[in-house]
Amino acid sequence: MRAPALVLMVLLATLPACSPTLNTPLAMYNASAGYRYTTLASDGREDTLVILAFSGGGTRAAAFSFGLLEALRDTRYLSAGSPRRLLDDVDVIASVSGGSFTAAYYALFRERIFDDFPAAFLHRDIEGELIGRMLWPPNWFRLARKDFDRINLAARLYDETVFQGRTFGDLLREPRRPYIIVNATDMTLGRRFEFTQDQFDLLCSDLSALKVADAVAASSAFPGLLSPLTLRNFAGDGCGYRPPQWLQDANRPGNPPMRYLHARDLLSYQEQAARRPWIHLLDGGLADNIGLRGPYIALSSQDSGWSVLSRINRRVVKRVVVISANAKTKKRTDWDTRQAAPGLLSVLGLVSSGPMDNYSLDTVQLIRDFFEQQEQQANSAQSCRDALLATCGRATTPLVPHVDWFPLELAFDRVEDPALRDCLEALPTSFTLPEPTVALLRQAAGVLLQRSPELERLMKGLDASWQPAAARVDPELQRTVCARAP
Amino acid sequence: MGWIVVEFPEPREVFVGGDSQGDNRTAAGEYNAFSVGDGWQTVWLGGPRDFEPPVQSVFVPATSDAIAPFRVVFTKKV
Repeated sequence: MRAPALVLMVLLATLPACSPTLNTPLAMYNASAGYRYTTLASDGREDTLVILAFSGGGTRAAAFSFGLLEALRDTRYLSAGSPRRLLDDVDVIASVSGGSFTAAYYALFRERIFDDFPAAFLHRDIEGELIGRMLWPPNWFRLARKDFDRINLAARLYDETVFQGRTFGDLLREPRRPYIIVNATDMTLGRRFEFTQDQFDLLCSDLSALKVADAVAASSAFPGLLSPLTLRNFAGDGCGYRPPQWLQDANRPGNPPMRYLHARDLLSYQEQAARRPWIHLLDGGLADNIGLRGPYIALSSQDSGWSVLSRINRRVVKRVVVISANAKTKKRTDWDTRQAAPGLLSVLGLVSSGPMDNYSLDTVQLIRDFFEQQEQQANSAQSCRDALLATCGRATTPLVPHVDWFPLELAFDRVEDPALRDCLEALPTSFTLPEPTVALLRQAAGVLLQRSPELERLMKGLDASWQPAAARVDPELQRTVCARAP
Repeated sequence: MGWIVVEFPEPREVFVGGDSQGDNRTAAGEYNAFSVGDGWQTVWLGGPRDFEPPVQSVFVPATSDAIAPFRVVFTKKV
């Protein structure tokens, strides 16, 4: 009996997959259908736009961003006499790698996240389970197939045990914001690839049929540990796609280089369809480990399917809040205590994380600078108008939209307590963390949010009687976690 | 980043890159300035097609600002 059973097992495992590609073609391009910002209704205040960004960093990042969601749930205020939660005002969540688990779970299951997510993901040994699946003999044969790799094994694990078979189409059953932007990296371009219909239009592919777990797996496919996730580019078959006007404008030589190159990269899926029938995706952290590049483009230009700048120009948005949960660490090394040069592993570690950290820092600064410039422009224009009105009785300068900008970065290096800061900055990047460590990360996110001066400024503007929610790090928990930290 | 105003004798919805930016001016006749990405932009108006040119492709300089915005002028057809 054993031999026939083994043969059957091998046959089943090596049979060609029912669907040779993960993604499906798009029958006909429709700019007002599919998973995109404009097809989702808002439950929040139209005058206040709240964008969250969840960085990469394995379970550490997932727990830290989950702590931010908990803190936003607990940030309550009165709006026209009715109680509201800041969480309900969130419009967009952009995520990378570990942070994508939290973002996708919240988009799919909403309030259930607060009860289920720790057991469904944060407290699990995902790494161990993945290794277990890789070592299960039938999977050896699956892994030998050219259409099945380690990333597909990871995606199946996430699909079966975390995301319960849900697809992006499920996100459209109750099409409400927040709009999640799960980010991966296109290997050929070295650029951000987002799992939105705006991006999939370029591939003439229908995002609705794709499993959310596939997107999260691609977003967290750390090079070396996991293989790239491969999508089919159906652009060669055609779908009636016509680039939106902003993309045609951005694709003109003479534009600022960042704008032009971004457009060229996007259009390469269409224009080079014959040369690029397959798209290989890796961890989103390689292109943008903080998830803020997409929001930055939407904030600062019309070159996006969800341009914030256009909504500001329409005088709809009066407040823009960007909260990033950045779980970056800062490893302590003893390299400089010795004459001997650091070894190959140390060098590779620096090569893999150093540029990403610097780029994330630049992105955060880019957004802060943009906010400051916009504020200065509005203030200068207003001062000019006031002066003209005072001296001439009328103003000839145009009206400029006035927006209050709130950049909030939650990061371990903002923790006041040096012992806690060092402890958090020394946490490892992995998909398994002890439960007390997860609890500490959640509490740290809450404290960082509630003690943020920017949050206080925002909330006092929404509700003058607002007081921060009680948030603290349990000293006993800190001792437990930090005593055993490396 | 750049800034534009769109001149037309009456209030009209303005489209930049295909996206509505709101009305070019208030009912009282004051112009609204719009913040746009610098470089090439395609601009047109909403409402009746009684303006010319029907669409304009303009290069918005990064040096334009909220006090001295780049002017995009549409005229009313007679």
